[in-house]
Amino acid sequence: MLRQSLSILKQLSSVTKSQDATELLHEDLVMVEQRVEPAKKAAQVLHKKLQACMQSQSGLEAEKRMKKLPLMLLSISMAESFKDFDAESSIRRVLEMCCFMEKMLANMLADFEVKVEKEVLEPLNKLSEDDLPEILKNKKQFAKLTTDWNNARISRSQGSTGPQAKQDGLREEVEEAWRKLESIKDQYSADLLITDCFKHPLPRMFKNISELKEDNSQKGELSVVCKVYGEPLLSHLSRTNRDIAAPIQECIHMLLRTGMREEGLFRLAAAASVVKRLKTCLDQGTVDHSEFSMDPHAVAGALKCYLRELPEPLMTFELYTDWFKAAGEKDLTEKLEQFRVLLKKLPPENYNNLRYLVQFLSLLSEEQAINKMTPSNVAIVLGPNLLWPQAEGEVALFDMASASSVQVVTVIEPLIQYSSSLFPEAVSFEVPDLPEVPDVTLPSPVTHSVVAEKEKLSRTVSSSSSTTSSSSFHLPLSKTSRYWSARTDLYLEFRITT
Amino acid sequence: MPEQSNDYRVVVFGAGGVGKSSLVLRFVKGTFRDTYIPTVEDTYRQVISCDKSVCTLQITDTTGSHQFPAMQRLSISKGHAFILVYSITSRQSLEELKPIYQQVLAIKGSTESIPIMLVGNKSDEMAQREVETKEGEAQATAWKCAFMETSAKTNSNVKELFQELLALEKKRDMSLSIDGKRSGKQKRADKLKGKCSVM
Repeated sequence: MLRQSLSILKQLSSVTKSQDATELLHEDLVMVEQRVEPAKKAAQVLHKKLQACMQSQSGLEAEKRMKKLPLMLLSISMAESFKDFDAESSIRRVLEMCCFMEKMLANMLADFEVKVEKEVLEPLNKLSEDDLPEILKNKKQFAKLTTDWNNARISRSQGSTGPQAKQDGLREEVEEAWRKLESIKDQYSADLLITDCFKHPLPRMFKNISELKEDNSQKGELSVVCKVYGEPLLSHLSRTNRDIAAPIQECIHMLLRTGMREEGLFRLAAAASVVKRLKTCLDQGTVDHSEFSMDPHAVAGALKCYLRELPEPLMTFELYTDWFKAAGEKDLTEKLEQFRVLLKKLPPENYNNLRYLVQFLSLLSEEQAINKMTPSNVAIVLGPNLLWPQAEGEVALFDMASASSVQVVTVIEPLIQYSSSLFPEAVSFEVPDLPEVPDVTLPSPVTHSVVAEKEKLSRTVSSSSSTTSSSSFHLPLSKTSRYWSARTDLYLEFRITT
Repeated sequence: MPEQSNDYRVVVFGAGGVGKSSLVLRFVKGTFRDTYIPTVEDTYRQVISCDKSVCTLQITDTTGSHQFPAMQRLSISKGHAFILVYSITSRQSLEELKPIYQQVLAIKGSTESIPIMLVGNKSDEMAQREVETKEGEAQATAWKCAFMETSAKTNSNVKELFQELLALEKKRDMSLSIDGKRSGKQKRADKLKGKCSVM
């Protein structure tokens, strides 16, 4: 009996040599223990500051929040302001567009804030107000019980010479203290482990904030800016910091490599699905040249679409009638002179893009023996995409367009035919080496090109890739709490042990 | 639905380079040009007999190279009958007709009473055939319209195509000849039965 209790005692004393409570804990847990206090502080401060960042009132539905956002108020005032303008006014159009955008942004911001509140603020608050204080309470109790147990152990070893009953009582006391100590130690360890797990979600929660923000701004970009098709030329060029519109440059680069000898380029139809995909790629700024180069008709189709979908034709509404007047000139020299004057009147951006395009078309028509696209043919199939009248309704558009699309050929054809004299600038794309047909017909100002530009091009394309990210976090522990947000396809997963 | 006028308007649709102009020119002028010139838009007129009188058959040859939806819609709403042309050497050209057919359906409401011919042109280029006759027929069945394979180059089925189209018009009694050779036309149509399927 005595031997037995002595062995227990020996066992226990081997575990606890000192009175320090931390000695009873695994060293990992000691590390974690030291982090509890700072974690609580951090959670408290950040919760407060983050709350201050919110633009909308907390606890409301996304819709109600939206109504009070400054962005929404801006949108509403815009909506009220544009009503005073007549339908034709460009200010009205701009306001309408901005009104829509601001409303969309307000909507996104409201959604975003609801999400931040649910996924970041609430857990943070729970952490600082409930979880961590609970841990600290247990810590105190653990320390107290450790002392109790030590005291009991000491008094027992002191009274080891006393009567059997007293000895037994003391022994029970020690064992009781030990049991309590064990249980609180377990709980405390568990708490610390949770804290440690929370340490993973904690940085992640902040990562979530930044991701949500990023996601938001990306969505904004996607819907607000990333449409290249239908975007005014000038805004596209200034946004992307380009001289030549991306679809024009990209398509021409692809066509130069594989399309120059294609019969009926720009005339024959391509698979609508391929054209659509290419358009989407161009909208997003990510074009895999190798994917589409094999289908030059689709590339030509996408280029035609881009020109056609511009809000204003490349050769402008303003000069519409002037172009026809010039084309009606009988004397060739005089006609070309008038064209030169008109070309100078074009905004520099339009001039550059038109030059780029016409120089390419001229190069294309040099292959007419093979591709059958004479300047006249190119003008017929492409001309109506370069110049069309500004029209009120659809009927007017049709009547004018059907008459003008015949006329437009008389404008575009000489432009292509006399490209080298009308556009004295050097061709700024790589002229492909096409064997078999001798290149002696090339006009003099054509220079063989600049690879640097091409490299620059491919860089800009690859860097501007944008995809909406979805993220999930898995910690290999048991209890799961999941926040699911359907609208963004972004879900967060915290797993916590108990 | 356009008012019944003295004009009977036929609109020819189809992708670029399938031979719309060649078909129309072969029918109107009886010639075939082996040139390569895309069409902007051309209209041809021919006097035909109609309800014991005469009227002008107006054939609009549209462009296949650039579709402006607004123009296309107007052509459709003005047109009385439609010829949808594809090339048997290009599956894609048949695909291209699908949105056009949908457009016709949308504007006319129903194609029941509208004469529509689905035409597979370039039937002389057998070696390059991509679309089987059966496939063309199947498409025509789906669209509840008539079908024919033609060759503007060899002048095969060209006149028949227009005769058949006019025969499909139930609201008027029309024939290509203006001097009342009724019986002749009728015989011709009977002879045709074997070649074209009328749904």
